[in-house]
Amino acid sequence: MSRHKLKWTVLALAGVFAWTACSNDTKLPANYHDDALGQPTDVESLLEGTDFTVTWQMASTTNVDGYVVSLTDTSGAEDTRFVDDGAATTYEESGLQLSSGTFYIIRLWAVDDVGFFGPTSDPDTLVVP
Amino acid sequence: MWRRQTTVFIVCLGLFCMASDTVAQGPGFQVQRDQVSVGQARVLSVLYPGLGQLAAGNRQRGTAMIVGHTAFLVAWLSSNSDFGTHEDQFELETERYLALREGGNFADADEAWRRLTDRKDDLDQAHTVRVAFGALTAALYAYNLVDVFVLGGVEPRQQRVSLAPQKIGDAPGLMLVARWR
Repeated sequence: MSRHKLKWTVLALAGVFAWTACSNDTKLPANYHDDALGQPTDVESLLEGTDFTVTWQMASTTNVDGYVVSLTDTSGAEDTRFVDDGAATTYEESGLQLSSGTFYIIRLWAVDDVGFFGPTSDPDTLVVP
Repeated sequence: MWRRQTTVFIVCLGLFCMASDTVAQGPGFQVQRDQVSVGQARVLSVLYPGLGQLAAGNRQRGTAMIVGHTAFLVAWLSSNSDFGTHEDQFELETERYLALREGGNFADADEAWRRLTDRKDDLDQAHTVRVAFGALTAALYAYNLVDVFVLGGVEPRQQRVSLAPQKIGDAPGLMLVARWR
């Protein structure tokens, strides 16, 4: 082997040595949140007297264990209800006392069996006459 | 204590006498030629690139190797430390992300995931820098070995122009030697 070849061979071996000696074993963990739960769509809320109804749609109910319905008033106070049915698309409550002359922001999201909250739906506005 | 100091002094004196080739030129004037053997120079270069070349008289090459290797070594150690810091931050963000699996929500998890991927990018970049400087350090060290053992980098080198002490009668003097082919 000529000196020139030997020189470059040794340099290449040094590069390989450095590459293997400095390993980078860190990897991203599995992404659990992106596709875990679907996002409720077409959220519509209705108030007739004291009867409160919310309806929504879900493209997929995979991993869905239930839903959280959220009512937020103009002061920012939030009140929530839990729907313990992953297949539900409606929530009804009678005798709900809401402040008249104001409005509420209604949102909901799915929940899985370990208590992870999925993406929040687009808000719907409920006007209380 | 005194005996230990004496022993150390004698050992140092012995090493000095072994390492230096002193030529007596008469009373009051000595010409001293400090030269290392090829074997000693090779050992020096194995210990640290450039030392053997410098000791053998190849000043430019020796200095370049010492400076280059020191710079690469410092950069590599620094980038290695930087990689360790990024690795710790990545592990911290991983723990934060995984902790949101139970009881967390999508928005927080998505934000944590974004930070985590940013940390991963930083970590990969730090790894690339670390490997680059590690390769440069190893390559220079390897080239140093090739230079010493194959290319004759520690062979005694005759300089074109040299200045050497020379006794002129009883007085000290200097000898300028110029060589050309």
